[in-house]
Amino acid sequence: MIKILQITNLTKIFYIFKNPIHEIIFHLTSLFHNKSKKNIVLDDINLSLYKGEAVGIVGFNGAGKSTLLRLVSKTLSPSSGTIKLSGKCISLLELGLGFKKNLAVNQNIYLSGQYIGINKKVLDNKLDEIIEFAELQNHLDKQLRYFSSGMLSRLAFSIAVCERPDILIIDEVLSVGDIKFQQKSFRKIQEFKENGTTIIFVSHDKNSIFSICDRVALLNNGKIIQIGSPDVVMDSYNALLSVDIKDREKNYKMFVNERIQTGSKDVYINKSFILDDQNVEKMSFEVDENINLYLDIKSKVNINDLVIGFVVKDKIGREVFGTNSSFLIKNTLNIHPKKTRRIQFKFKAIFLPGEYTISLALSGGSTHIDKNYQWLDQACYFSVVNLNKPTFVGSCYTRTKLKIINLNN
Amino acid sequence: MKIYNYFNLIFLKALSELNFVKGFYFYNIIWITLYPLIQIIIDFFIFSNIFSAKLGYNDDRSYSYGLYISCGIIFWKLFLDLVNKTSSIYYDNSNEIKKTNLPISVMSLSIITGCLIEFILIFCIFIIFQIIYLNYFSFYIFHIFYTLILFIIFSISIGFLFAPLTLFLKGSNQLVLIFNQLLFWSAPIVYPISIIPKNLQIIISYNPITMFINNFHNALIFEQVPRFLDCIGIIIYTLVFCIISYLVNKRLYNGILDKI
Repeated sequence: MIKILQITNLTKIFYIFKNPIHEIIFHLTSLFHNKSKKNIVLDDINLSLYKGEAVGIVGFNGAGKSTLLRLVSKTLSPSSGTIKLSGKCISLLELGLGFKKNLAVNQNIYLSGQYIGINKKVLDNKLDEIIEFAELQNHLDKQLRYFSSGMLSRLAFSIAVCERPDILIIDEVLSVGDIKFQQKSFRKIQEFKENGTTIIFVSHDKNSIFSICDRVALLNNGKIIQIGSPDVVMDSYNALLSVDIKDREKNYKMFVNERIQTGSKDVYINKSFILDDQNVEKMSFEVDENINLYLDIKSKVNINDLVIGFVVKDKIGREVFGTNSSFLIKNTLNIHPKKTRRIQFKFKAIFLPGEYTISLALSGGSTHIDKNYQWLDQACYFSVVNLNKPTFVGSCYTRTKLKIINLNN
Repeated sequence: MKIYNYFNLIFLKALSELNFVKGFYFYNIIWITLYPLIQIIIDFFIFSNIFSAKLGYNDDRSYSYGLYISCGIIFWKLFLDLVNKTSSIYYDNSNEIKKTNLPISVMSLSIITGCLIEFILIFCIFIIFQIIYLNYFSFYIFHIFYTLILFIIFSISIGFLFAPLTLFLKGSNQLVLIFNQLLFWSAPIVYPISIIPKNLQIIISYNPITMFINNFHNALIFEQVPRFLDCIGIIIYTLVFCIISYLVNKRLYNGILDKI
């Protein structure tokens, strides 16, 4: 395999000064080193990429993903370490760079194309192709200011992919335009990959990572803590997400106290977690896999009208599914102080692939209006991925069989 | 890096910086030239009548002060444009520098192109005005070309000296304004050098702008070959500032990339 990109011992440190005069003198003469605050963004990164390989980079905000991409596309210089690139590199750190709204489409194609490093001769040849890909044949005589934002991003993407580079760097710019154009752009990226383009891809969207990447690197606090196949790394990425939740559990009392002010403090959720059927804590579930939601509930007083409910919400906060104990067992629960009760809800993740949160509620009576003991938003996180089920659309999955019957008429 | 690959980009970027709108080139030219045209007319008809006696050239050219001042102002405007735009080059193009590896030289060349387009339009008006209204044309005009090239390099160098400062020290573009004011009034642009005291004349004659403006005046108004000392002076000044600002910017460039 041909090595296209080799990153060795890459470190990037930003020096933060309070006094700008010190900053200028530091950059000129390396004096005043002690007056700065060191901000280590990337710490000893080693990574090699081969021809025709797509590597995804995941991590939280501020983990150093964008800095790494800037370093690879040479718009930032490393503090130490080397980056060896072989071949032509096009980086899409932002779409529509260099667009000038008062110029025409053709002029903007030349302007933006040359900005991201495409030769003028290539643009001359590919002009019609770009316009056709962006579906803008009817708008050629217009200034760019009369374009909608969707048209702009379509044009920008078409310019960027008009020539197949050896390395393509993408920073969360793939979700442009309508669904039809998104699929077209994904197909284009796949086509590049099959023809031998190495792709570095940063995204928060699990599905696009699964559909493009061969390997995924997990970046945390400036270090690559794991690199491997997408499903393994994405699981540990989710585990890392849950570490954050555990951190929050340390401050759980405070967190709960803030919320409970509207309700009473009589009953509260001590702990909540999600397990799969093998009792393993997991954040990423297959479509149609069982989810076991456990709640540990404590009480201060004797209560015998307790109802425990949960609701699953999607990325934009829409309620996807929810129920409560009163609906399930047609009765209320009772709970004694100094005893912890563990409640299990078992349900199937028949949801569309994506990210979901679970909100929990403890109340008296079947609605939350009578007595509200506790309401907890975003108590648990999980995500649903589709690995072996047939592709589907909508918000839920039901097992579907296709049967063809020949009718003799 | 081959600069000639970028000619098209430089030209398009310059056009958009001049706010040229697609399909309206004619109007754009009018907007750019209207203000300097008015300025030239005011200089010729009002200032020449008021100040002609003080100029010290006792010939029958009553317009000579108007010619003198508008010639100086045209070149000063070019200097001002170049310094202002170059001193904020990192600030204005921060997104491009951050997200693409377009060389800085391309950006500065597009600034030069934009300013030159504007300058050439105004300069042509100035020459046409001279010919039509005064029936006067200096055949020493060809001497301005090499001075102009040095003048542009000098202006860009001054701008690039301020460019890191405006990035690191927010609000320090006020410093550029003060610097420009001092330079403007310490050069014989609106006044002839002969009206100020002798001991001040020596100080002012060391101002690089004085040397440049002298060359332009000699070529366009006084119909003389540029003075040898002025030519040597501007070459030395241009070289020194060019080298200093190149070294400073090269040294600071990584810091600039971090800061943007």
